[in-house]
Amino acid sequence: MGTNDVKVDMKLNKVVWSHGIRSVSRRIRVRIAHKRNNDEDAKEELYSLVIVIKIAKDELKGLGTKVIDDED
Amino acid sequence: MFGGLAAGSLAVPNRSNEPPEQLYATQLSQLQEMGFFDTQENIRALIATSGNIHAAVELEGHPEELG
Repeated sequence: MGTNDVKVDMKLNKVVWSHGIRSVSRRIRVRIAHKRNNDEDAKEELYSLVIVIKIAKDELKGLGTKVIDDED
Repeated sequence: MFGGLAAGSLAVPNRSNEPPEQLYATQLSQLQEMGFFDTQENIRALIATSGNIHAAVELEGHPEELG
């Protein structure tokens, strides 16, 4: 996404580990969004936020990448 | 990393009077490194699983089971 600063959402982290340490998910659907860094002391003006998209397990194959234009 | 985890999960603590922050200090720091930052939630998960970090991690991923 072209930003040095990448933040992983807390919920995504929990989903990654939700099957235990020894059997992490092999497939997961995420959305990556450009955000403006509002922190006073932020070094980067923009950052990427990675969040999890809830999808049924049997629908995760062969999805590919989709570009979404959001106005937020 | 897994060697350390195995050693941790095999421990059978007999210090039940110790506060959980000290009893599970090793597991708590491991959970922090894995991105679980809510210390109180971590302590509840470790108490529910008797300090088994593998089971605690699964619980953290399903917070509804913590009650």
